[in-house]
Amino acid sequence: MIHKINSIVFCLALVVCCYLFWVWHLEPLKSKQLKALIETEKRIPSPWPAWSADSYFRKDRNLTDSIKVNSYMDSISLYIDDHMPFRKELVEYAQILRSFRGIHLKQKEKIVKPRRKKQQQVVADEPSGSEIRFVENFNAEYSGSLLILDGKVYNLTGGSTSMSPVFAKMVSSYAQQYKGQTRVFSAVAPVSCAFIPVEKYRKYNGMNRNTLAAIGSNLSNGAIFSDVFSELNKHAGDQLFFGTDHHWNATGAYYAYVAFCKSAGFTPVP
Amino acid sequence: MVFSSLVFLLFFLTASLLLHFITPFTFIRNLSLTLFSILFYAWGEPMWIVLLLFSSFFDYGNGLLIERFKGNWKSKLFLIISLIGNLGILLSFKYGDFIWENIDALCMQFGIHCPFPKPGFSLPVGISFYTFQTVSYVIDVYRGEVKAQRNPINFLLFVSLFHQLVAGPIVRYQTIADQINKRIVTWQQFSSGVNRFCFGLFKKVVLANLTGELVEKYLVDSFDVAAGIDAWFGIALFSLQIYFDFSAYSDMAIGLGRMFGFEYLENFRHPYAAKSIGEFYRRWHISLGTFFRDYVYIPLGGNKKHQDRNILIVWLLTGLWHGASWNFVLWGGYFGVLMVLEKYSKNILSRIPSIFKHMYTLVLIIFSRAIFYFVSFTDLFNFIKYHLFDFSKGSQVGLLTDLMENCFLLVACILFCIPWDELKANEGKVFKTLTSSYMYVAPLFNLLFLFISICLLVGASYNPFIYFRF
Repeated sequence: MIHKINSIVFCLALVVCCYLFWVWHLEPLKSKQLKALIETEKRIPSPWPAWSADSYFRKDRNLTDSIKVNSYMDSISLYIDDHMPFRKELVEYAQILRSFRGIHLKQKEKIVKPRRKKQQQVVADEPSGSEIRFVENFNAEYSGSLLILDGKVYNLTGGSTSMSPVFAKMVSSYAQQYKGQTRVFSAVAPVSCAFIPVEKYRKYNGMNRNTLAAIGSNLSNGAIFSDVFSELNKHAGDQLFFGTDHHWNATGAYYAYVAFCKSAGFTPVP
Repeated sequence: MVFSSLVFLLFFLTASLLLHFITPFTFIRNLSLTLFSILFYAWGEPMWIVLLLFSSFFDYGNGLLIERFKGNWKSKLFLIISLIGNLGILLSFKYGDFIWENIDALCMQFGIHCPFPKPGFSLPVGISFYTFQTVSYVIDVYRGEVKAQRNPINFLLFVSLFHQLVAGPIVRYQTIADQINKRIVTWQQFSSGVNRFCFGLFKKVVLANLTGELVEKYLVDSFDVAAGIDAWFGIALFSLQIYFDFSAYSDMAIGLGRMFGFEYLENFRHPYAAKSIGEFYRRWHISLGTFFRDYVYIPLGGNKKHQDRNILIVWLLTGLWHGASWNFVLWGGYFGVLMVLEKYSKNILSRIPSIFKHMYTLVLIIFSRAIFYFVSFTDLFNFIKYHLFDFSKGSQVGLLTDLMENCFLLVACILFCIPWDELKANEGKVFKTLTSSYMYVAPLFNLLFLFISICLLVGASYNPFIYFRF
């Protein structure tokens, strides 16, 4: 009897999961979940792939570092994954389950509290003389704290000059620790919103500059400041960051490299 | 397609079970199972399904001809044709590029390029498994140990059964010959299959995948900075990952087999409990070990003639079976030499206390995983030279933190490596009592394992399967 119950329970579980998946495709359950997925994971759910002989017979391959082409069958797997009923909840449960792997220790990193005294602003968020080419016509919308402007995503933040000395102090302590053994550099990158090509968001340019400059002015013990912001700012008209990724692209990385070389006393390779 | 995927769990398994059990006759059941098996294979290998079909029908024909001309020289001729065909397919598709690269490197010594073009085939999934199955079939028919299968659908079913098609165990025809022709699935058999499948799924998704994430950290991300202790921890974790990954797949295959009325032989029997290298490989990937024993080692002379040579040949071939790369040959050679050395030091080993024998085996096995893991010789030698024996400094990547943050996972891994049923202290009585009472809570545990696995599979980017590439 118990074997019969076990077998039936398992088969029923499979059938229920399968049935739920199909029911889930009915509006409005699906659209609600998909909206949540767009909000939380900041991406469009994988669509049902269009069949073609090429897509069916090819294996997954990377066209470039950032673009991956999936085979037809793998695209179906991605579709099922993205359209799984209760996906958001299941992902949350997975996080909880993963936390049961062991005992989580309290972080032992040294926390340096910012000084209470208000830091003197270098310049009150005035934009610098950058090479940004502003546009007049654009499509802009917000998703949480993100600005989506003509398909590009910007995290609107300029940092805080009150935290710059904290960071500078940490870097300086490493410079002290490794004095005579190696040189310690600080080459902090501005965020992409520093170069938004719309006049309205120009203040982020100044905010980024001030935050980073405050790091430079607070370094001590021989720690060297690489002025990445100024170098990128000179080329602000170029595409320095990826469209939907907060990282800089190869061009942005190159100008940061130029800034580093200047501070390290090397001649950058053109 | 892999078992630990949402497509398989939600749709494929449900549909294949449903169709299998609503059809009344074995022939139709076999047909539906064959079609599902082909779909399963074509899902991940759309191109080389042709090769699978060719290989099946080629050996179906050879099997019939060998039986028809039994006792005649023609029987041997068809056996040789079959072996040349099968090994030719394996050599071309699995080892073609490897052979070409080595010939080219040799030609370059004389300032010329390899005269023929590089084959450039992508490795067909599971080719090593199904080729060995068909080879064992024709040899067994030639030896008269089994009767040739007359129904081509039934033979295709034997070769392509999705339970064991892409990652084993290597099922011999004689094991399931009767079940292909007629099988009755009892509730008890189905239930035990469900238990085995759910447990295997849990082992794969939880133990193997979570351990694998740590392996990535120690052997890939922190490769350049790892100290000796980090390096040993990394390969010890990889040893756990590969065991749980592969044995979980075998568990799922055996479980699925039972659900559909097939009884496959065990492929793993707690290998990390072994007290010698020889014992380890009697417990690890048993179906491959017995294949080489029955079709290579014994025909070469076995224990009676040139035993050392036979052991070395078998192990070099075992290494090559795992992949077309010199590191696998080195890996096979390493075990071949160890086996021979163990043979000569039997008397010394028998006097050593069990605990030291365990430790000796574990250290050598864990070290061998480095040879297995690093396909590039440069990486392997750098790993051994600069990391593995660098005990001048402590952990460089936060080993203590990782031990604490993964302590329950690691304890679970160790517990699942222990052969509780073999423990002498209670002669397995406690284990037997536990397993017999487990059936009463099995439905709940199975649902729990299924739920946990689905949770961890949704949105997961890390779900590799190591033995898939063989």
